[in-house]
Amino acid sequence: MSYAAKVSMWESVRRLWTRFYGLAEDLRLLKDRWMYHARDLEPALPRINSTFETLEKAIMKIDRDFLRLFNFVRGIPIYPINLDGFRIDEPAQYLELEESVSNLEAYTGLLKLAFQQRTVSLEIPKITSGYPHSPERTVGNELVYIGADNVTMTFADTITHPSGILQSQWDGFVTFVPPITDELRYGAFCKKGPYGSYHIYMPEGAKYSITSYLLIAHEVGHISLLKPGRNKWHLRNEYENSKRILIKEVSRKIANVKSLNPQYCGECGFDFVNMVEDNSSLQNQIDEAFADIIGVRIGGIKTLEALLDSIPLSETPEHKSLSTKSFEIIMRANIVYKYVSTHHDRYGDLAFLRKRLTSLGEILKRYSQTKICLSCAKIYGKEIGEAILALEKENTGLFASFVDPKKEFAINSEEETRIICSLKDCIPCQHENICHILHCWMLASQKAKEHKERPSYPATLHSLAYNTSTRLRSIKENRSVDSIE
Amino acid sequence: MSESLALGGVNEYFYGITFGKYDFVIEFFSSSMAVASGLVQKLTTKIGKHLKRKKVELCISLVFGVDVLSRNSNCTDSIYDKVRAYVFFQPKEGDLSKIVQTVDRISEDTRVHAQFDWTNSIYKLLVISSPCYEGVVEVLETFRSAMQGIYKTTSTCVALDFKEELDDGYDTPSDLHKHRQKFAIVYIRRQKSGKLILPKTGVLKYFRDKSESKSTDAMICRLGGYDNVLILKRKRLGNIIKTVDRLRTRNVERISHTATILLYEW
Repeated sequence: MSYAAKVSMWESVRRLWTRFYGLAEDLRLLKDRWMYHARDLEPALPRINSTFETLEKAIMKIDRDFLRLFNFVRGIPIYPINLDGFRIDEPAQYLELEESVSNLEAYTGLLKLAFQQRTVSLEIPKITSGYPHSPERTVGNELVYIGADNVTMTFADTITHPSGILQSQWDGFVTFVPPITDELRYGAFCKKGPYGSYHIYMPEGAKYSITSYLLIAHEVGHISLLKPGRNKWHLRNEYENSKRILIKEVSRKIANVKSLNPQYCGECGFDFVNMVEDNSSLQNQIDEAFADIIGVRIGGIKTLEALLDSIPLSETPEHKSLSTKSFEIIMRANIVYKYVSTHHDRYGDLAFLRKRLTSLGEILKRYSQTKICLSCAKIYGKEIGEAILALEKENTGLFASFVDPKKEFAINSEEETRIICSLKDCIPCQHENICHILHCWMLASQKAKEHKERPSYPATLHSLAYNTSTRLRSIKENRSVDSIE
Repeated sequence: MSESLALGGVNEYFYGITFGKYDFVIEFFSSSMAVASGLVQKLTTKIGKHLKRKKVELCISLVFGVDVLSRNSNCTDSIYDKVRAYVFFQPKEGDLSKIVQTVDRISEDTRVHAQFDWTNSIYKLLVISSPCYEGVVEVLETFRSAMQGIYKTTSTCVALDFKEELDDGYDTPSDLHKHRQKFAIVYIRRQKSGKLILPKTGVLKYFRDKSESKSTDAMICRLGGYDNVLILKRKRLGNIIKTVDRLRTRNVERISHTATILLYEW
């Protein structure tokens, strides 16, 4: 690297350091305010000590990285007379540093958003002396956030993980963000935070829909497939091995489909062989299908139905083509359907799901520019679903290594009737398991023919937010003990 | 205002003038939250346009309340009561049934209408309505003592019916309640220095500051958010509002805004 290039790089790093310095200050201030208000606003503002500790570690690490690059005077990097001490030799080193700062910046943004959303009600005691500062139209929606936090906590508790998913991976709160693109308008998402934590966020519009909370199960499924490494994230060993076998098996099967399966139309333009050859696409599909299966195992069959509901209704035939995401959802639903239909004794009545898949298949037919036709989507789902089933048969502990069999979703008709009756009568049922409440909310909503028959929204949201089930209580107790430690 | 509400499709409503920094409260009923949201949108636009002409900025805050489990589900009659109080309180636990039972019992015992409303916020809402302020205070006192240890914080906003011009008939004591003198503290924020013209009746005490005798900017002499304090003593809530209104109209140039606090005990 020439001297001029090195000077220019020094300037860039200095600008990045200024950005980082401001960010670190912001985070410290935010932490103080968060912890101060948490006393009055808990659980709307949860105590996330471990998340702040993680962030401080990340700040210290980035700070050390900067420290070894600069000569400092009173905390300000001074321009070096000779650049011997400045040890960036390649732009890649700078880019790595910039990525760390950008990640921290994005995460700080989410934290600020969560703080702002969850402290709106602080205005209420000041109605005699203050102007409203809230950008929200209602005074506050804290119950929605508490409900989403509780749902995530319950789902995450179902996962078995060597380091404990709650303590080490999920950062402890869910945010609802304004969607930037159409792809982010539906569903739930998980984002890698600094220092190996994961954050779950949902689009702003989804917060009023209780059904959409079921989609968190899929994201928890994603987190469960990963484990923290020293510097970066690695796939869990057992899953990695299973996936390798699975890809091999699926590739072999699908490669034969074209010649062997008479149902393959050969006209819809979906190229199985190409998909198999494109290894990353298949890997991605299998990751998603596994997360879906784990989601179904922890949240019940309704998680899959909620996923199908997230296909935007605006995608009518007039739009000519479905978005890629909607395609992926329909294809994945076929995989999971194959899997659950074999275990139907565990998942109960699948008639509604079957009907929904058929109707979506009919929609699929109407699009002229589709990538895949209904019969090919079924073949695709069947092949991968069967491969997963075969793998599970060989390795009986495959899913048990992800989901605790004792905490797996199970509900009997008696419990179903009790919860549905209670919610329809507008009576909160806080003592019931959160997974059961979500399941019954969706079941009752699907069955309702009139508005009167629908379960009560306030009663359901209240049951989620102020849940006192033994399971959630024990999770919270463990969590508070860990945060004290 | 009434025209705007009627045009917006709101028939049953309460439109009141409030004590505190907010000026008005509008309460209406709707069977659907989506419809209510649409109505608020319409109303905000209309009122906003009306106030903009008078060079007044609009600043709104909105609460959706849902009647849950209460026996007082038919509450439309109560909106014809003249005095209403909106009590926001943050319960410590999520057990609603105890709160609902307490509210229903108090409402029955005192024969004053009180209704518990569920909201999305961590604060729940209790709406008390009575023909007089004394009735509201009675329910408020009983509720607070019955719920001791059950809620974390509470905040109350009192409103007086303002559908038509205020007159002495408003806030009339019933057979159940004795009429008492009412006190209010009025905090005044100045925008210009100079002597204030005070109302002739009802002013118990007036705390002036240095800015009155100086020609400097009021902000220079200010220690906190407000400049002057006035204590009022009147018989009716309507009289207090009228006195504050008189104070403001006589000092339009000098007063930026006021905040009135009703005293809870006397």
